[in-house]
Order: sequence, then C-alpha cells, then structure tokens
Amino acid sequence: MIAVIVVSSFAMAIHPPSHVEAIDPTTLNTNVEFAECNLGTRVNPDGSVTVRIIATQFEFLPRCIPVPKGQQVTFRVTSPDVIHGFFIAGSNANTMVVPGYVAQLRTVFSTAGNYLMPCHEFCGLGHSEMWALVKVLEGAQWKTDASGKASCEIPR
Amino acid sequence: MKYRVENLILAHIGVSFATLAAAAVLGAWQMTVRSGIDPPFATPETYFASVSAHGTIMGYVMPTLFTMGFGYFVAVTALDQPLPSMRLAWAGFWLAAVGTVAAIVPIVMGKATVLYTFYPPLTGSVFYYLGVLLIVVGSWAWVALMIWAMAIWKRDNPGRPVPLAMFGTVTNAYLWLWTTGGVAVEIIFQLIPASLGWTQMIDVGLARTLFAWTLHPIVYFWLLPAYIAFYTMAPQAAGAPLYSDVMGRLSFILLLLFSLPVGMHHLFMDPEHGTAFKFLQAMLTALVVLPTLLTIFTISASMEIAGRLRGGKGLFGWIAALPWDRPMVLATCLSFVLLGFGGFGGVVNMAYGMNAMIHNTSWVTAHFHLIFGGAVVIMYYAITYQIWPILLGREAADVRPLRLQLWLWFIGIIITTFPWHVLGLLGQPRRIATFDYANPAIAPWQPWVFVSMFGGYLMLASALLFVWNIATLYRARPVGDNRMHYAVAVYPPARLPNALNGFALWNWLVLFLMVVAYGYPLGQFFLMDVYPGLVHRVDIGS
Amino acid sequence: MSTDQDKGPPDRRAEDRLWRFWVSIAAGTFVVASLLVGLVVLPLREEARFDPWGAICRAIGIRKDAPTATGKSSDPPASSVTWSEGTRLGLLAANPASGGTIVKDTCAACHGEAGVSVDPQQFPNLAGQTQEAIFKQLRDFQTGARTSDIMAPIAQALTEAQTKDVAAYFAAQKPVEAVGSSPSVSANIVELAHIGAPARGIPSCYSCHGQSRSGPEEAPVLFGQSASYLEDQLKKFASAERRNDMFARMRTIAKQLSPEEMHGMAMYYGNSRPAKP
Repeated sequence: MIAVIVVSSFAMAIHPPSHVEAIDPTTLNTNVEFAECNLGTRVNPDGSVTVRIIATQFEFLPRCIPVPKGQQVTFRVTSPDVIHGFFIAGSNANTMVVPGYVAQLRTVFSTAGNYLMPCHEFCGLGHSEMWALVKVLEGAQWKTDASGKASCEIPR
Repeated sequence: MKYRVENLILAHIGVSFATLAAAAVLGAWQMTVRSGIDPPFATPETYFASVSAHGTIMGYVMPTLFTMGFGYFVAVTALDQPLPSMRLAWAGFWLAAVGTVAAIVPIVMGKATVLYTFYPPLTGSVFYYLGVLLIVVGSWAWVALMIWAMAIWKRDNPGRPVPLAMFGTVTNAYLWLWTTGGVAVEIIFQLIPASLGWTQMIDVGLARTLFAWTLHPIVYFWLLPAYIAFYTMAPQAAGAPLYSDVMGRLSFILLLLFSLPVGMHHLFMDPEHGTAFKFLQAMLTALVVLPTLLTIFTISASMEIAGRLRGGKGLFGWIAALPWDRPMVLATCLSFVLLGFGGFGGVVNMAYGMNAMIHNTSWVTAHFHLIFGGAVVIMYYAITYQIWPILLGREAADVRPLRLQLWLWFIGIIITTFPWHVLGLLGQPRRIATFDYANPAIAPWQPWVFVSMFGGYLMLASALLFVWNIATLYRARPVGDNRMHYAVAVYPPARLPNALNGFALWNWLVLFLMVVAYGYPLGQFFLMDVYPGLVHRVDIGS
Repeated sequence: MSTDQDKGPPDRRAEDRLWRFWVSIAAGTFVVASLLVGLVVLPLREEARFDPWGAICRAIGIRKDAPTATGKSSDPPASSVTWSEGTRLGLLAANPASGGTIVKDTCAACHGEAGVSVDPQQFPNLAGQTQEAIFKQLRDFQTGARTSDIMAPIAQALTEAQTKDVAAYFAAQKPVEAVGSSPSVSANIVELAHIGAPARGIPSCYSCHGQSRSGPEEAPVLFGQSASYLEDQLKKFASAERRNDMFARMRTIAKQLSPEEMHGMAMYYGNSRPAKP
C-alpha cells in the first residue's frame, strides 16, 4: 500500500496541491493580479492557460469558467474573507481556498462538457448556493477575444 | 459495587447518551433537508446551526463523557482500588457538564454557527469556545486521575503487570492529553481573544494546522474504549481467554504513537503547506494498519478459541458455535465489519495522491461515520449493556431488544454511509444544506440521498430503542453477583518489561515524532511572511 | 514522565536500554527514510533540472519562482476600502459624539438628525445602519467608486476619521420603527429572502443582510428602507450602473433577478422588519 503511494507519487508526479504562496487577503480588492478585469480564463502569450478565481462570500468570481479540452490549465484561487473550497466535481481538481494564500493547481480535462464547481467548505449561511460552472470546450467552441480572455455565461 | 462510584459513572454515561439521542434527532433531520424534502424549520440558519450542534455533541461531548465514565469504571474494577480522588472526578464531570451547556446554548441561539471544526476567520460567541474548553479541562481531571490511579497501583504492586484494561485506559489518557494540545492552544491563543474582540486578525493557516493536530488523534481517543472492550470484554463474553495480552499492549502503544504525528493528512489539499511534511505524515498515517491488523488477528484468534471450546469444528464451524445471543459478541463482530469498510474508505482518504478525488465530499463523511458512528458507537452500546447492569445491580431478563437495537444500528449505518461513498465519488460536497436536484448534473444524486436518509431514521430508531433498553433496566430484577470479570490471557504474563508496563519510553517517542512532524509545519508560520485574515464575527448584529 | 518508571534491578535496566535502542532505531529509520523521499526524491522528480537544494525548498513551500502578476488592471477597483486591521481598529475607535456634530451640519437636512430620512425614497434611512456599511459607502462616494452628484462633494469634504465618526453616530441611533406589517408578498419571494435559490446560485438575502451578519463586512441592514429606494438600487446593480460592490457580489445576484423578483424583494424588506418565515 505504502509502496503504491510512493511509486505513484514518483512515477506520475501526483502531489496534493501544495503551492505555498502568501497574499494579503485584506487588500485583495485592490490587488492587480486579482482585479475584476483579470479574473477568469486567459490564454497567456506563451499559449498556456491560466484561470484566476476569487472565492468570496457567497460566490465564485467569475461564475462561469470556460477551459479548453486536452490542454493543461492552471487554476489560481484565493479568498478575501473566510475559508472556501474549490472542487470540480467529477475531476481531481480539489483544493482548500484559505485566506492569505493563493491555492494553485494544474489539471487537464480529457472530456468536454459542463462540470459543477461547488464550494466544499462551510463559509457562512449562503454556502449551499455558492457554486460555479466549468465548461470544458473543444474545437471551434473554444475561443478567446483579442486579449486572450475567454468567458461564458451560465444558461438561465 | 465496591468503592461507591456508581453515581459518578452513571452521570457521565447518562449525560453522554442523552446528548447522543438529541444529536441523532438532528442528524436525521439534516438528512431530510439534504434529500430535497422540505422538513419543518429548514433554513440555512437552522441547518448549519444543527450541523454545528450535531458535530459538537458527537465530537466533543458524547465520546468524551463516555470515555471518562468507562475509564472510571475500569480504574475501579480492574485495579480493585478506589479512585484517588472522588472530589476531582466530580469536579471534572461538572466542568464538562457546564461546558456542554455553555457550548450548546449559543449554537441554539444562532450565535455559534461555525461548525464543530470552527475554522476561523469565522468566529462565534465566546461562550461556545469557553464551553468546549471547559469540556476539555474537565477531561484533563480524568486524565490526571487515570495516571494517578495507575501510579498508586504500581506502587502497591511492584513488578506486576498492570491489568490490560487499565493499561489501555491510561494509554487513552496520555493520548488525550497529547491530542488536546493543538485545539487547546488554538482556542486559548487564537479563538477566545478573537471572539472577545481583543484581536482583529487571525493566522488562518496556523489555526488550521493546530486543529489538524487534534482532529485525527481525537478519533483514536473515541476508538480506544472500543479496543479495550475488544481485548478485555469480548473474549470473556464469548467464554474464552484472550489469545495474547502482549498483543493488546502493543496495539494500544502503536495506536498512541501513530495517531498523533499524522493529522496533516487532513490538510493534504491546503495551500499553506509544502509537500514534504504532508508526505511524512501520510507515511506515518499508513502505519496505523499495524495495530488494527494486530487487533483483528488477536480477537479473531480469541473468538476461535471460544468457538472451539463450545464445540465448533472445522475451518469455519467455530464461528457458528459462538454465543451470538450475547450483545458483546454480536457487537464485536458487527464492529469489525464496520471497521473493515470504514478502514477501506480511510485508506483512500489518507492516500497522498487519491485524496484529491474525495476531499470534503460525502466520501469523508461516510468514512468517519462508519468508523466512529458505526464501529465505535456500537461498542459503546455493547459496553453499556455490560456495565450498566453491574452499576445498577440489575439484569435484563430478555436480551432480544438489546440485539435488535445493535442490528438496527448496524443496518442503519450501512444504509446511511454506503450511498455517501457513492455520492462522494459522484462529487457531492459535504456540509451543504440544499441541492438543486432539478439540475441534470445533480439529479442522479437524489436517489442515493433518499436511501441514506432512510438509514438515518433507522439509526435514530436504534438510538431511541437504546435509551428505552437502558431505562427498562431500572425495573429489571436485581442480581446478587455483580462483579466485573475481564478476559485474562491464555498465558497471563507474570512480569513484563517496563516498556510494556508503562509509558515513559512512548511519551518520549511521541514527543520526538511530534517535533519532527509538526516542528516545521507550525514553525513556518513564524518564519515566513504570512498574512493573517480579518476575524469574521458571526455572533454580532441586532 | 519517568515517574511511572520502575527503578528495577540491573537486568531490568539492561532490558530498558535494549527497548530504547531498538525503538529509536526503528522510529529514526522510518522518519529519515520518509523525509528523504518526501523532501528530496519526490520533489526532484518534478523538475527536469537536477537541483536538490531547490527541490528541498520547494517541498517545504519556499519558492523563489513566485509568479508575478500578469497583465494590468485597466479598471479602478470596485471599491478601494480594504477590510484590514487598521480599518476595523479605526471604526472601533470612532467617536459617535463628534460624528453627531458633523451630522447636524452636513447630513441632517436629508437623512435626518437621528438618521430618519426626510424623504426615504431618495435618501436612505441611516438610523441603526451598520457602521461598516455607512463608512464604506461614504468612502466610495469620496473616491468616486459610487457616483452621486449630491453625495460626492459632501463626502469629499470629510476626512477618513470623520467618515468613521459619522458612521458610528448613525449606527448608534434607534432603527426606524416597523411601519405596519410586512406587505403581503408571494411565497417564492419569502423563500428567496430566507432560503435562497440554489439552482441559480443565489444565496438567501438573509445570509448577508440578516441578523447574524455572517456575510461580508459591508453588507447593510435592509429593513427600514423605502421599497422604491431598494428596488432602484437593485436595478442599478443589475445594469452595473452602480458597481461599488466588492467582487461584484450584488451585480452578480441582481443580474439574475427578474424585475418582478426585484420588486417583490423591495416590497418585502421595504419599510418593515421582515417577518421570520
């Protein structure tokens, strides 16, 4: 059992998200990287994809997150207020969102479709209603604007 | 009973089960809310207050009071000597009782809806934290009494092995002392100053790490009374000696060692820790299979002896020959089954790589309800069925309602938690009041939630039947001989090395492991640049 | 810890030494091996370059390659108020009495001397409003995060300490009495207010604006306001005409509400204390 864990950790580089990066939660609303216009999905000049998300009482910003299929996506999530949870149901993208830290994880989505992204740690009375939608898009559906930003809307 | 401790023990275990019954009602109601049926009073406010109360009772009140009461029972019956101080014991009880009230009242008022894990920055009423602290301080009185009682016995019986039941109880006392360190520091230095308004900022990463220190071994504190019963009560009930006394001691010691420096497996998904110490603690966590397997082997062997003594033949014939009508034998077997299933789920949780799949989903809830609500609490019932008649000097004429209650609990917990495992894999998060089952992504969850709700009501029925069973004992016929007999090993050890008869070596080893495992993870918060969060009060407002 | 240790004959002490020796060996080996794997071997695997020191640092969370902010923020923040220790200590230290003097000269003409508005449809009642909410709005009027031709110059004339005093003064006033009973609104409005709409990701109004204040610092108390004022604000959030809500919290929610729901919500909270469901 132990051997399986050690070997799999080594061979597949499976690690829990452990990106220790501090950020001041109290000034997050004036932070440049996490400014409203920088949130969401962005294709960087080198072609990599980064998604920046703020988890706050009681919503994820943005609420709809488009990502490309079959390409590595880096999520950077942080909270200005209390502890939240980041979890894309049906995948292994899972991390706590602890105020004071940027939770960062990388994952690849191999199946297109809509994934539910609920907050999975109690954050207050509106916790149950705090969720976002991850849309894994392929082919022509995946597109960005001129600045490399991709966005989507949750269907009513 | 000798030494006049009946009322002390009855008070502890009585309050313990009274709160359990209340929390069982809340549990069933919460399942109903989650199922999508709108039961009365269901709002986010009431739901999360209920979750807070359920967790606080089941985590801090019920098992602590039970373990204290059972520990007093063992200290008096296994050592055959009075408690070193009845006054201290009663003081501990009243501290815990007042603490229970102080913790529950703010929850009911909606002023401490922070859940029993109280992850700051969410901060509730100061009375809630003071209440939990009082429970812990009350239990420290018990710790002192257990260590003290064993020291007196060893002084009076130099060179003789401490009875196994007491050795296990004192293991638990030391375990608990180590366990409460983390949460006590968090409550005293972080939560109480924050809830009083003395501090405005709180180091969230530090608080989570301190809580993780406590959160895992607390489960072993709950578990140890069950293990003590496995070793010293179950073989006796089955009519056989214990297969090995030394195995029992080793298991208790290993549980002490490998419950403490492992709590960071609760923080695998946390961004405030690097991989190195997560990995170390994952490795240490895995070692807990050693005492578990030792115990399953030893108890199964003892049971086989019992079965064969009763005329059981063949490879499996001894199983049929066991006295299944005795609640302790039945409960031990059911508990092993639940421990097996729960252990399987736990292996996934603690797996360094697999945890990401199920962290904070219903899978986790299923795991700890199976282990604690299942394997442990069913043994609490069986222990109570055994010791309550001794305390009262009365005996139930008919044990069928007792067996029915144990079966109901067993079936209830299976029906409740098996669907939760499935739901966890489907991605259902825990700690959510309402789901939108109209959403096609969530709709497949609902049938599973319904099934588990049914299990929750079975458990509620079982808990109420338990209270009834205990209540009817008060009118049962008195018995003459009400002494307690513990199982004795096939070859009782005449003398033991100090290492297996005391805790000095093991406490030093725990200290070493704790320093290695937590030294840097806790120290980093004072070395790195960290940004604390603003305390988030939930108990203010009109 | 050595109190429960028997000081036995010499063979016992030799026995103890043997235990100590083997236990130390076993525990030490296990810990060292685990640390070696966790601290060095596994993190080394992650990078192509062989850099043991970097690997160890990464494994305990020290990284020199901390990513820098990409891109620039073109828009000003929704609000430049930060909920920091300084802000909270400032609010706690505020002086309601000197706030009262300012109110008499500056605010009373519209919001009333005791915070009861002369025209609640235009000017919100401030009596009993939370200190955090009033302070935050005043600061936003100062910085232009919230626009108002009337309020901007008034707020700009105040120092930061004065805004805190004014907020403390209004927060200490007796809230507006309930005007009549709750207007009858449909059951789904009451549900939205107290339970929320999980399907649409709308938390209950109560979870932020309720008594337990479990939500954001600046969330105001809603009862006691005029229904038309509330409806107006909801519409402005929905159209993003008003955008000083941090992290777009209210814009996100209001955008999802239908005009009927906005009206119903405003009626439900407007001018009365909301009844418990």
